[in-house]
Amino acid sequence: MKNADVLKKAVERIPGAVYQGIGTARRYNTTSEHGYMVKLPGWTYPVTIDAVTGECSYDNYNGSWGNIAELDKLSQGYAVEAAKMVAEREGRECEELKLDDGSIKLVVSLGGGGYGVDPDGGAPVVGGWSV
Amino acid sequence: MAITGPRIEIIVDKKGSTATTVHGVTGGGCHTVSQPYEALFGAVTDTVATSEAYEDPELVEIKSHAG
Repeated sequence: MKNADVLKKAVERIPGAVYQGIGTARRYNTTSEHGYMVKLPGWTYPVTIDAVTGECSYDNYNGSWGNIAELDKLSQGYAVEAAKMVAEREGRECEELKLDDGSIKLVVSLGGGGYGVDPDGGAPVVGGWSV
Repeated sequence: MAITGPRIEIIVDKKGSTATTVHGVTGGGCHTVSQPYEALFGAVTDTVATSEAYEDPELVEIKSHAG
């Protein structure tokens, strides 16, 4: 998680989460390394993300100071928002669907004005759109 | 309207891991990979798309060979 814009969007997907900018977060008996800081809901101390490596550091005391599931949501949201940003920048249509198991499905159009036939049985397409 | 033509389908699981499949590309068939996000689009280079890293390697370009 290295891109601040994508990270902010990922944070916005989690109710109660707050992006706290770049800095050094206080921990129980130490301070974090410098990086993006995100306060997750129910967490005592912010998660810190190294802006260069994208790696997270945190102190949740084996779950007592923060549910790891919230960090998983951030990772999921980042992957989704990063893919959507790429698709948008490339002018690709992108759909987001929530699946029953909690996964998120993104469908990114690859059509670029040519004709194609969907081997999965879909309708003939023009420029990525079914017609 | 649902996208049904040439497309990349990306499944992002609850922990943020991704699995990518490519559909609807003539001659390409369906190509399934499971990669970290950094290789999300680059993983389908052989059959459908090429990727080119920008300054941020997490953000890549999709170049369609569809049609």
